[in-house]
Amino acid sequence: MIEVQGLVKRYGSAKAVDNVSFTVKPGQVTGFLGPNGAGKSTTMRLILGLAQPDAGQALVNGRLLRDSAAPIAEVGALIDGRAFDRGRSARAHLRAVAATIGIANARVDEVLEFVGLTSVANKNAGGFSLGMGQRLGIATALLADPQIIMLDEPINGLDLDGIAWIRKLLRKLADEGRTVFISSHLMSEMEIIADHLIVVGRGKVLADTTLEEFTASSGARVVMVETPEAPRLARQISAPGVEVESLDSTTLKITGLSGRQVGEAAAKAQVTLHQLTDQRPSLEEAYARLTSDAVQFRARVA
Amino acid sequence: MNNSSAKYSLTLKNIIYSEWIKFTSTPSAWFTLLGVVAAMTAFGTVAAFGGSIPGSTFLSSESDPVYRVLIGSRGSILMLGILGVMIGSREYSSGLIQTTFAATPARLPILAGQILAAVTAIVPVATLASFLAFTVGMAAMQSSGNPTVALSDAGALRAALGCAAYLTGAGVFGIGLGNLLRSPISGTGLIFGGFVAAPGLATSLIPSSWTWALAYLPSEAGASLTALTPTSNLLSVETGALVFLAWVVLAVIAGGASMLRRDV
Repeated sequence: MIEVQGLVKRYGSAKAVDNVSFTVKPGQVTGFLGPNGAGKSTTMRLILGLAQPDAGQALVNGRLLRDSAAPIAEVGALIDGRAFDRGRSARAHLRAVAATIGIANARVDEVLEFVGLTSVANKNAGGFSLGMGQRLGIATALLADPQIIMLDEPINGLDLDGIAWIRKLLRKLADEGRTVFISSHLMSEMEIIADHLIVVGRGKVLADTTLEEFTASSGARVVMVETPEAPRLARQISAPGVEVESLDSTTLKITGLSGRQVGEAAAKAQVTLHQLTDQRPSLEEAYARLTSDAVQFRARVA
Repeated sequence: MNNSSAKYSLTLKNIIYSEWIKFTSTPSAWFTLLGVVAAMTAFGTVAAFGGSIPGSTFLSSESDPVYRVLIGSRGSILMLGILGVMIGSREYSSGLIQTTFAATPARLPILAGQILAAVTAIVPVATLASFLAFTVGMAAMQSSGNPTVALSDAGALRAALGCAAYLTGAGVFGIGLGNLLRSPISGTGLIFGGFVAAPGLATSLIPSSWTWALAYLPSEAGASLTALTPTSNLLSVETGALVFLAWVVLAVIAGGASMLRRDV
């Protein structure tokens, strides 16, 4: 469990993190979502004690990380998938981190195998691609088999196989009852991985909700129906709060009902359906709407 | 609760071992140590022959035979100072320091680990290099008809060991500086400027009434350790040792304070 309480971090006059509070619970994947510069990495660095907050605190399993007897067994973190020393092999990197709390070399080989880096274990980690670096960073985070896994932009640089792999991994970790906290600036990534979302913009929490609630609150859902008996179906489902628009003679666009409700109504009235599509509002749009005021670096087109 | 955090613990011994793994898995560290042995022996030998090699007068007017054969220490402190700077600063520039600090939030034990790991590797090499330079240098002195000193003579053993301490101290000084500056480039620049450029250039830049102050620079103060009887432009052995030690301690304290206080 990670508890962030009233965190403030200033850089000069700008507040990178502005009174941020949230709790990351075990047993689910919590996505930390926001545009670049929203304060995600700074918040994660404050949790790890890499930066000192101007106010507030971040507790890990109820205490500051620096009070932990074995910090990397408490939180396994990936902050930067490129942060490895030039000249040092992946294996030596992991052994050095492992040694701090007395983790055996056998465990190092185990995590190398687990992230699929065994064949390049003796290669210079400084020369790794971003995707390989992310895998090594994840291996570093998993070394001590921690209860909390915190990854900053873990999907960055991964190929499709890598994304599928990390998605499965995070799901497994959460199902084991661990606390999984990952950041991203892409809604599309969170949509496939996260159960819970903490959306930030300009250092402030904009939303702290489940993925479903976020979807539901992000706009009315639309159901598209294709049927040779469009007028009959339209009459059948007509009710207060339901809006039916006839796009052509066989296509209806229905707002205010779920796909299931429309389907059941059609079955009851014995209306033949050729197609029924439940169009969830685009999460990407919802996210864009939520953060539009909070985007710090927007490209201007002259 | 999982039992993994109970099974493991962060101890000073573990942290030192972690830094030792980092030191030994950095190829450039070994090259530097090899370079120190080579430089100590080569410079010492050339200086010993100086005057008898046609065209070379390198240190031929130096009257202290021990200072003369240990002259490779001047180049070696540069190499070891830079090695120290690399140990202290490279993780800040690669970003690895975030992983390191997250693993050891108290931070200061990391500085202790860096120093102990480096000292463990440097001391035997520096000692070997000093005695090798002394032995080979004295043989060269003898064959070129220069006065020689035996290791058993008064002050000779002290100078050879002092030279090893000078080299080791330069490495520790670099580690402190590296953690203070957090940049391999500025750290290397400062080592080069402080150890080479300042003592050399300053003699022609500052008024002659002020040149006594140059003996207090770290490279000059430490150089007293390598002499049988330091010349008038160096401090006495005792004062030199104290001033050099003060520089090393100052660099380590400054590096430690920077480590503790600044975000990464």
